Amino acid sequence: MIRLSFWILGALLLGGIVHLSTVLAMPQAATQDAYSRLARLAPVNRLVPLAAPSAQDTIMPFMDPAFAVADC
Amino acid sequence: MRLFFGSCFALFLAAVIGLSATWLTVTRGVAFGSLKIGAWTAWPRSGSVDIDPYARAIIARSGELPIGTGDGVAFFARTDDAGNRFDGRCSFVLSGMTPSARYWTLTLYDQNGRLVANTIDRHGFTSAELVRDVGGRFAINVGPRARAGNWLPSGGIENFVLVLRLYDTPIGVASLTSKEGPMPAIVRKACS
Repeated sequence: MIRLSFWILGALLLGGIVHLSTVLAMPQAATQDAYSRLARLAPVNRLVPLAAPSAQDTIMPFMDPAFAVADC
Repeated sequence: MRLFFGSCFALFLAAVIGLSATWLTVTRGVAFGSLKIGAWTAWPRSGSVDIDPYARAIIARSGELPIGTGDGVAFFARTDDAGNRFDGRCSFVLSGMTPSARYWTLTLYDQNGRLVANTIDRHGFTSAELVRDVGGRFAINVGPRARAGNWLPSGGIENFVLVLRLYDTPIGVASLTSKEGPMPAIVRKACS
């Protein structure tokens, strides 16, 4: 019984480490974050106006429709 | 043999605990440093370099682009002042004042941050186009049916999110106290 509780305690500690490292690694691992969405649309060093968000299609979630957005 | 099974069990349990904790924090939107005023919540630090790792992970997952701290601050509301979730079948009234800002916009989104389709192609209001009374106060009707005055159609969707973006405002930049701004009150009216 004591043996099992030691294993569970170890698993909890290790789970905490897994949690923290996955949270820290997420921005690097993300393939759909704003930067990679925009990098697909625009060539380097050129200013490209982005399509205004509509109900059918939006480049990023929670874009402000009152603003015209360009990306470089 | 016992050691082998024990370590396998511990590793498996650790993976489950760690990954599910990450999943929960990222999907539930647990981020530090939020600024709550009434029903409105903002994360002013999300647009700056001292963003916390949880908010960074949430933004990386959703793919949104937060407003930079120097530009302004975005307040999100998912419930009214009494805590009722925004329902597209009910009508809600936003009224009162906004904190000082050079320009502000109010936009209605669905849960995933997409605009909601409607017949008049109206997705929000800006401070410049709003109809106000003589005292400078305003009231915005958010609901499925057309209303006189400022009507923001909610399209009858199940849950929606209101985002009030204040541009060029002192709120949230200097300090994180909730006494700063008079945010518009949100009250639920009739449901159909």
